[in-house]
Amino acid sequence: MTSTVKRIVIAGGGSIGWIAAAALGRALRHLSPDIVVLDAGAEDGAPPARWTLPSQRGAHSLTGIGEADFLRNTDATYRLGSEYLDWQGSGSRYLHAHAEIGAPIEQTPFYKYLVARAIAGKPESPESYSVGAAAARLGRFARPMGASDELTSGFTYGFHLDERAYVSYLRAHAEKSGVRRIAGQIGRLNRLESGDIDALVLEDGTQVAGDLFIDCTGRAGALITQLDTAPRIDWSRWLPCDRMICGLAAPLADPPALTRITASDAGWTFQAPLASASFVGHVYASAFLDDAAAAEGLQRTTGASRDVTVTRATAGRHARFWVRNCVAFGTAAAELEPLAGAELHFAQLGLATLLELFPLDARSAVEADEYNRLMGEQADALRDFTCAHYVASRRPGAFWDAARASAPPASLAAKLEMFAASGRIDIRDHETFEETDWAWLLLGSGLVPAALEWQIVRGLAVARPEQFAQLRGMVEKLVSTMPRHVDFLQRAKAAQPRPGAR
Amino acid sequence: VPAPLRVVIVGGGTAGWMTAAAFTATFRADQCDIRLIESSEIGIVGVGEATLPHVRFFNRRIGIDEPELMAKTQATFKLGIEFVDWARRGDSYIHPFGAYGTRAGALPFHQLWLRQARTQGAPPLEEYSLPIVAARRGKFALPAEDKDDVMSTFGYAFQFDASLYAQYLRGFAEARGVKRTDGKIVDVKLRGTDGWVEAVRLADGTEVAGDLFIDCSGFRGLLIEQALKTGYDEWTRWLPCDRAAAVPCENAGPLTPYTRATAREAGWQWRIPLQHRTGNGYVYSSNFISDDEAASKLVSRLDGKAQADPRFLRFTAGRRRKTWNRNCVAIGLSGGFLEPLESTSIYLIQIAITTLIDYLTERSLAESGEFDPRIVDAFNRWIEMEYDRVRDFLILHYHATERDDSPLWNYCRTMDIPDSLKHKMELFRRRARVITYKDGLFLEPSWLAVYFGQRVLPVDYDPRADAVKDAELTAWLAAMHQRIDKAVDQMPDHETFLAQYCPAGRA
Repeated sequence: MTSTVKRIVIAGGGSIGWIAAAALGRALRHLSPDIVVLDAGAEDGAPPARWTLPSQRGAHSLTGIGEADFLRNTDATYRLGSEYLDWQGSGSRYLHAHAEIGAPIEQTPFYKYLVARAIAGKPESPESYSVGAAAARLGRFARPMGASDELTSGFTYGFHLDERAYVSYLRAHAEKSGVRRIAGQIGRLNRLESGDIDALVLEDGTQVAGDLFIDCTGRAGALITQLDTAPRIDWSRWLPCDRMICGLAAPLADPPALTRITASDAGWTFQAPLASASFVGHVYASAFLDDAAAAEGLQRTTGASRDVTVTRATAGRHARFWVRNCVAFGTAAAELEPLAGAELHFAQLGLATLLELFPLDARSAVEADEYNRLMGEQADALRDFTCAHYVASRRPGAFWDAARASAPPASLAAKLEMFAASGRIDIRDHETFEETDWAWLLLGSGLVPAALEWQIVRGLAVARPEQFAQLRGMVEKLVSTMPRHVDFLQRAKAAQPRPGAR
Repeated sequence: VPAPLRVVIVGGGTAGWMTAAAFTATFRADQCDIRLIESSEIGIVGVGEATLPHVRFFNRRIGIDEPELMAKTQATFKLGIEFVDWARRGDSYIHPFGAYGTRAGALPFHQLWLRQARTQGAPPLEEYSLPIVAARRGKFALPAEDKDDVMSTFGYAFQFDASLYAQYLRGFAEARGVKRTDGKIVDVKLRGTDGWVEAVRLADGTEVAGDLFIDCSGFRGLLIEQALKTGYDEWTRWLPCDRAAAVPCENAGPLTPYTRATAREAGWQWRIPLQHRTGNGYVYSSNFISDDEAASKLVSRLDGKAQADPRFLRFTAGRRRKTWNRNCVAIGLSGGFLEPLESTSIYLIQIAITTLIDYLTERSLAESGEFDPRIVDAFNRWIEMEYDRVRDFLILHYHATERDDSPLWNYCRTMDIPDSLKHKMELFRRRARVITYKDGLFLEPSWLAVYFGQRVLPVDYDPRADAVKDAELTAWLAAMHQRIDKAVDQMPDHETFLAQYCPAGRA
């Protein structure tokens, strides 16, 4: 195997850049490439904290990060899902847990039964049929365990974490594995005649040369914007929020492993528990709320005083994420509001896909085409899932009316129409969120299909009502034996890694 | 209580009876009233005597006993398809129903094999595929359930007499209440307001009305095309074969647990061994060979004595523009035609039936007398995707060749191919990466078989394969090779297994 890619330059010293450095170093160690992180400080637009999807655990195991160590160093808490408040009007609430809903009845997904109930005019919440959701609701937590068909294994979890602490932690981890760090600001790019990047020229004149450049500079996209000449794809007609104000407030006393996401008159506010603080903020459309009022509102409702930042962003993405010898990860590639908590996940997908298609030489046009096809589909699918929250909302108000006014993307429209017609949730090739995730969202939003698949109606007819009561009872009993989230967290942090375990 | 949905199936071939059987196995009489109209005057095409493993899921879904079905259809087992003379004369490879080796973490097996083959030398890839090794040695046994057992690394299909399959399904369907009408359709009555199919009129004057019409009338598309003028997308520029001559012959030699497709001067020849005879056919392009010449070439290239005169079929590769148009769904040859090179005919029937059943809702037929257009659109998108994916895979067989010994191969070798396929091939040529997808036919091993088997060779392999130590890789590959070799040794001969599992004589 001959790869001429020996020098990898990662631009950006945020969590995405450092995790990419650590993961690339580990995955390519047999090729011993020279990996340099050009640390220009935090990513442009990076928030002081984040909530993540369960896939972050996979990212940690790929980079050799242990959970206890991670929890101790990043002020993290567990996350079983999100709670959506007021999205269907004042007082409404539903959960999206990273968890199964019930257990299949004769191979039919359990949520179909709930769809049938809703069609019959007797809607029921999926929460009482899901261990992950019920635990989240009651402030409890334990890790999933047991065989794959047991209720105790039917959920998974992500994290809430302090971004700055996470960056330092990842940086130390990457540097330990031999990644080099150069501090400085990018002045300009030195390009070869071919259009490839030859080197990054820093403001102090230092040149950082490389074969492959990875843009992790956040929404500025310091490298990719200079290489991708195609116009940026604008998503703002579907995702109208263009501001985020956020900061840290006093911690909750006994926080659940849950992100709270509350609809507002101009977007949505959030509250995500860290171990020693609360990450709070407001994502909104500037056309419906001015910045001063948003700042005042945040201060008044949450008392947030630390790390208050305001960022501006228009939802959208680059047409291509991999151009010439430059690949953009995360927000440098696509800008999406953090509703679903998928920013790090999207960067991680980029990393995994790059490793699969790792360039043979600096110009791998075929691999780049494939990367752009795959990651473009992934980005669009994340956009659809985020957008669906708005489309499915029934909250009144000018902002919400406007958000619902434009026809959704064709791929989302097809999915929602099929659900509305038949209760079917069809998932395409490259989508992060699966059938059950959509079921949480669609059922939670109170969407009721016109009809249910015929053969499923038939299958459900054999189910006995006492089965359902029994299932609810089992969930309730299981959850009552789970520790409180905060207690579990304390114990998890104290745990020493098992010898030999990573 | 709403009246049952009146389903009228037009045509009683493989597609018609598969549809009838699946509907009656899924729905109760008070939900669906199923009637099938066929004319004993019109012969059936009896598409595809070779199937894909998916047909077993179909059979299981509707509740068919496999040994009984196999016995009654003279079936043999099928572990894959052997392709002879495709990239070059003298070449042979098998497209297996199963995996090559086992995955090592994120890395597909073939990447590790490729590294070993390029650096140290290694036995051919096919020796790491249990179904291929078993096929080559004429062995068969049922796969194991245990995922750690090497005997779980394959699936199987049947080679059977499709007209006997249709006959079997007819018995199954009629026993469960499907009504059969023998009659020739002379007219299709369309509703004045919107052109929906209201009824079909038979030669004897009776009219059969329905809510949902399934057109299984074959190539001509009696309802979907002749009545509804739906339109057809032709793919002959990529798949130029438009004729076939078919002839059965006596068995000679042991029954192979695989089908053979041999490239010929103007197309290719199939050989499908059944318990009582061998099916043969020459699929060809009428631009490059005459019917008479094709037939005589076919007859001169049989294993055993011909049992009949060659029968001719005509077709056009392509797909109906809408498989579901108004209240008519085209299933089988009326919906599209892709030559049987990869035994996809019955699969395409099956997927249309199961998708239709999956998509029908309780209130499919609204009080307005219309099907929900959202469901119709979703159905058509799905079937389109299925056809397009099979199409690209078939084109690959014709295009990836070095043959320059006849005008057909010169045309195929140099023709322009769809961009979607071009991209797949380019990507594979770099580092053996196969584009995979969640839905639709042909997974990684299928593409690998054809790429490697037809000399589409990568310049390099995935750099992640270099992460393994030399000695470890060598030992791992040797152990796997040995495991497969030993497992196949212990399998019975195909014929021995058939004789105890599903002998046709005893049924």
